[in-house]
Amino acid sequence: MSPDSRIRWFPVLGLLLGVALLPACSGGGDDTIRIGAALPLSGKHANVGGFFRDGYQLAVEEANAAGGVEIDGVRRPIELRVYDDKSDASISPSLLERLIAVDGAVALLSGYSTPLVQAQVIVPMRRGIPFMNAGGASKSIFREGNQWVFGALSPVESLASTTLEWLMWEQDQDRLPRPLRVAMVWQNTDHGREYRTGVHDVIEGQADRFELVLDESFEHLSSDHTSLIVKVRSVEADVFLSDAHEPDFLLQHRAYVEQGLGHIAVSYGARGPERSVREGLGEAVSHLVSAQWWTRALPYERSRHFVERYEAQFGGPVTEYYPAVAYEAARALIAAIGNAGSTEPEAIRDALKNLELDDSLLPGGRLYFPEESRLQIENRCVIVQNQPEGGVRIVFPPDAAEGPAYLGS
Amino acid sequence: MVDLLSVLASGILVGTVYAYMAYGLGLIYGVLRVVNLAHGAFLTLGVYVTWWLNTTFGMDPLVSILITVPLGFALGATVERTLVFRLRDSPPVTTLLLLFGVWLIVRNALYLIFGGADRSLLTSYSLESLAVGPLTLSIPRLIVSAFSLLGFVVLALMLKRTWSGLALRAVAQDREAAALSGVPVNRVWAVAFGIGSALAMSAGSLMSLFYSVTPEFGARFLLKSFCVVVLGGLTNIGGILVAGIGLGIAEDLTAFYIHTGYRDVVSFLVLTAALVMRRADSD
Amino acid sequence: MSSFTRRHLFLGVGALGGLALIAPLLLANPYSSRLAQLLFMNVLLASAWNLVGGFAGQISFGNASLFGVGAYATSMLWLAGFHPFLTMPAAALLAALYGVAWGWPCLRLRGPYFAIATIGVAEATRIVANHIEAAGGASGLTLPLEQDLGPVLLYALGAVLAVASVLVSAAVRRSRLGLGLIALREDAQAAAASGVNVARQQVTVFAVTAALTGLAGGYYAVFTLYVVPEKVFGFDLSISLVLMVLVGGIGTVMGPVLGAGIYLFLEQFVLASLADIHLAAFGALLIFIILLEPRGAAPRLAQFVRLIRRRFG
Repeated sequence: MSPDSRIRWFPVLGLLLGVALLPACSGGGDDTIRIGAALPLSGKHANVGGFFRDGYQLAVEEANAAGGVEIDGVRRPIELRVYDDKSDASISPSLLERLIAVDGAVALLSGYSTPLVQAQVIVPMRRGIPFMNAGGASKSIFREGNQWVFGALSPVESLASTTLEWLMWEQDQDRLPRPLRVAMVWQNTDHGREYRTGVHDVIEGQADRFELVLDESFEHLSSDHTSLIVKVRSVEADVFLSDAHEPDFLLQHRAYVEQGLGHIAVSYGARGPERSVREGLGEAVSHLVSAQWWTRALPYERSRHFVERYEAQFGGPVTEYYPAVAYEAARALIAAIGNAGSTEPEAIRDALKNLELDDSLLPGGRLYFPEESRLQIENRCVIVQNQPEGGVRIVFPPDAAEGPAYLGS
Repeated sequence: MVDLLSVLASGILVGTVYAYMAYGLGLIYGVLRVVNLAHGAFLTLGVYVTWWLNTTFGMDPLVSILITVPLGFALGATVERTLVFRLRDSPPVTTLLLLFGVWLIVRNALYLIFGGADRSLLTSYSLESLAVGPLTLSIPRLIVSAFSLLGFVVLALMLKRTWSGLALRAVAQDREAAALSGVPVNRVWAVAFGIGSALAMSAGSLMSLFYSVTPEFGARFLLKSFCVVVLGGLTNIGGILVAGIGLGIAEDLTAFYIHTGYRDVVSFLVLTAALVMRRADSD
Repeated sequence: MSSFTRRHLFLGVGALGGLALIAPLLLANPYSSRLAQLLFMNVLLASAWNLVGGFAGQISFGNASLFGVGAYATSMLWLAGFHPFLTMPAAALLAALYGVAWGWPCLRLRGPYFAIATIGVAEATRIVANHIEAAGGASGLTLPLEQDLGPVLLYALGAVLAVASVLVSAAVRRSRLGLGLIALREDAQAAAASGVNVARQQVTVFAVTAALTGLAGGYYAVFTLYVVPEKVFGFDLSISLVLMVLVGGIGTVMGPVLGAGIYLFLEQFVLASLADIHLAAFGALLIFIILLEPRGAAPRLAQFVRLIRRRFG
């Protein structure tokens, strides 16, 4: 078998592959309405992908229990189809193409993490299919002239800005010094970079309120954080802000405790209430402050309903925001399909643009997609503080607060 | 000054962990000339078994080493007997990929059993630290460092003083000659793979004291283990210990004095530079 | 390239013709055209990797560093106003330069030493890329959707690149260079003694590998319209190349092509629907191939083709 003989059947092979790749024909035909998602159920972000699936599933089940969606006078059930993209940015978009072309999905729900959603949104924008984003908070996902990508998650910047708003509010109550010395570290990912932008945006021109004494990045999934924490100790700040994902947060805060640091307020961005965090750090997470896109303590009807349903089905307590925002995003999409009374992409898109859910579980109680922020919701987050006995308490904004924050010395 | 000392101390403590997690990789390479891509699987498995024993029975992670070591040995020897053994005469890269397959299967099994969420455990001494002059040293890290040194001593003694150690070294030096002089090479291979895996799993037990784990846990430490093993000379247990500590210190100094974001660049650059420079004795 | 015979050229044109013939089939819907794009990219990547990995036996786990350079070169030039087609040569050239820059020292290493060094280079590259603000840092770059080339042009570009990579691979395989490499793979010392300049030959071929990998990166950027270090410099990418080639048949010309197709098929059709067990299914398949078909699928298929010929030809 010489190499030449192999070259000879190259055209044959091309044909064979072509046949192998022949896509199956559209899966439509019955009266179900399909919506699809490509989620990171394995790989780097597998710890989160499952939450999204559960949240989406819950919303779809509720809609079906209520009789489905009425299109042209006929009530039709909704089917959610989910594929695993292995947290891989090149697989993810191809699965969305498949959901549209092969499975006949009329609208799409997002995956999770900004880089993956960034890669995904090209598909709905090219094809003109409504895409509901619950998993990528970055503003850069929503390109100029965006018509198809709707964001149910407010930008990462709002995590940072709400945290600083809270600090300013405490300053106004004379509970925090002015200027406040802030040490900030951020993970060098899209998320961390936008957190940093959010902090800078607020601090700029507020020299009387804030003094930024440390501004440094670290790599995601670092193997140790002690030297960074020693650096934080050396700048003698009043407040320590960090933006980290779970594994880094755990290591960083462990080093923080080991090195005996203490600040008036400590926040790791959105980290803090997760179950795994208390599993690993116990008492040491008490009084950590975090900014949340959603928290189970929110006093809204819809939020309580969600917590009840979710915990009955998947066990609880639900401490992460992911399934709640996913549920809400899917609910909004289904509502829009109902409002449109059609499965035409343009009709669904226009219904989404006009949609306003007044009974939302998100902070502020309202879900809508404003044109001026390129169809991404821009609401404030809530600031919660971990309680020594477990659970969290909302400390900001004042109208939802359950009590004052505990501020260290 | 205090900062410098803190950073150095942290570097040493982290470095001993690097060393411990790399012993097994080095031993397996030394004896079988196989790059064990399933190393990450055994590390991860070690953390999960420890986590499970701790959350279910309240077993201390250090006690669970008594379980992870024999379990690791059994699993490793089984993998060698059933899979690696069949490729003893193939080019090394096929074994490497075979073991990658094993890693995929283990990862999948972990997803099915434990899910993808981060898991971590807490012991009474998890967050304790010891004041030594101006320094504060974390107790769990000190314990792990002690285990790392202990592991080194036990391994070195075993290799030098016991008959199996002798056989391991003989096969590592020259497989054919060892076989001719009556060393049961097949069994030695299985034993070496078993010990290497036992070391990796017990490293997982120790790492559970400060790391959280997902099924992807092994990936980030596999690369680091490679660095340490290569820097230490691939087959030299003492070299691995020194390399681990050296790497830990270099990383922490870089993170502190240059930029935190660059700590991993150091390890990879040092790795490549060391490889290229020592090519004289690499064949 | 004396060995680049007319016959190769003829076969290349034939292959392109074949791909043009089945184009309507593959461009039938957006999903199938996406699959074709991925297939072309995989062919390019796997053939490129095989030049050094298969012919010279130097296993690289660091090709993502070259892919990323190509992807970023294309993206940045595109954003600077150049037409995507014009950015391709730059992607190839920059990747080749970068490949030579680190291949030069590293290729002196052999076996697992080389493999591990490439991991080091690739990971260091990824982290440094995360810090280059001019290239968007860890956020990556989004490319202009309104300048999208469209499925037909993307298909044509991919087909040309993929066929070219296979032809290059065939040419290298038959050239003195390639024969020298294979001699080297079999016995480094003997090859050196017989006058093969080991290091220089490997670096030359590695430059070709790098250029093709850079082209793949550029192509990726053009059809996904989004590049980010985590993906284009990622370890997963480097690993997937090795798997493709191994599945198809290492050290052959058609093996990587076959492997690229099988890999894509598994990834898209078998695994995405088996979310719960896809890693294990993949792992088991890998083990199966290595233990029972270590030379990959190519020799089997060749056997099958010969059998058919004997029956009907």
